[in-house]
Amino acid sequence: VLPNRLVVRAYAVRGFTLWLLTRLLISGVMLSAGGNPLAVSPVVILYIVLICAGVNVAEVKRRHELALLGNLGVSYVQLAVFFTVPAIAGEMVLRLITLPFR
Amino acid sequence: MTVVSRADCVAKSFGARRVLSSASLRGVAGQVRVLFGRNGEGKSTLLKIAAGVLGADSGSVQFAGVAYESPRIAMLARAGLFYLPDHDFFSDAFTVRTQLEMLRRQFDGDAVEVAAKRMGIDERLDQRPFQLSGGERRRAEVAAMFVRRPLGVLADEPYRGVAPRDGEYLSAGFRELAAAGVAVVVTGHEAPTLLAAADHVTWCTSGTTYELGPPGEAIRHEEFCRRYLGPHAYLPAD
Repeated sequence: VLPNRLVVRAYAVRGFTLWLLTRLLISGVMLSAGGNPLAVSPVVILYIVLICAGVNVAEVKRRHELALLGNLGVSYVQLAVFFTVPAIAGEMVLRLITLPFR
Repeated sequence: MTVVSRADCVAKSFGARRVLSSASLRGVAGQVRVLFGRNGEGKSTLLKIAAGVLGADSGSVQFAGVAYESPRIAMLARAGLFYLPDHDFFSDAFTVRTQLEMLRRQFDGDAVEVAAKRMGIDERLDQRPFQLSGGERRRAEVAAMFVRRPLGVLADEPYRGVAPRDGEYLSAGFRELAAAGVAVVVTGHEAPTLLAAADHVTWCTSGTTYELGPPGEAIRHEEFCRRYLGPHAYLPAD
């Protein structure tokens, strides 16, 4: 049973927003260290996705949403998808956009 | 008598502290069952285990005739369970309407407006839960049960901190769900209100549970009155 569109949209928007904020922060740190935040290795992208997933988990716990999500029938696997897919999609779009400038 | 939700011979320890040794719980279709017990006796723990929120050390959990080896709330919810935790159920990130609509779309229950009107929170639908009073939030949570239309409800202390008028809304909501065939199990300490709403009383004490029967019989149970209700309890008329 898949979550309905309203649930998916709500958590996709949040996931994308949190990825954007996390990415801006990490990019700022990389710039101040003299690195290029747009030319990152796949390993760094993996770390970014994991950090975003962690931020999403913290947000869900902070807002006490586990009972609501559980009652909606959202499994842990589906939650993991909610928490990682927006970050993966964001990184892919960022890579495509910045490709001609590298 | 159709048992919808069932936990048998449940044991649970937290570190060296054994909270439950052999406790059981039944949710029966068409009944409001109340689980009483003093603080720390394991009511919430038993409810969490029956809802798949917490794992038991031993014992079994069944829902809608299916036995679950490692129950999770999501799988039980998909089978028809609604679990109301003792703290806020709704997220402050979305409006009450959005969250009720999420449940309605997922499970195709009553219309959001109808359920909200039934629980007297129709004017609060477009607010976020933190903008509602404690009683309104609890009423909104019972409205969620109507938009969900579950087979079984496990509600952990829904009456805590609510005004008598809000309590009446909650009781009417639980009674209406039971009349529609839902198996409702409620915990709490508000003895007069809960006894007035209940069909059956279960007492959780010393790590186990006792089925005391209908409220009229429960209040004549000497040990229950002495050890839980106390000598000066104000109880509803028989």
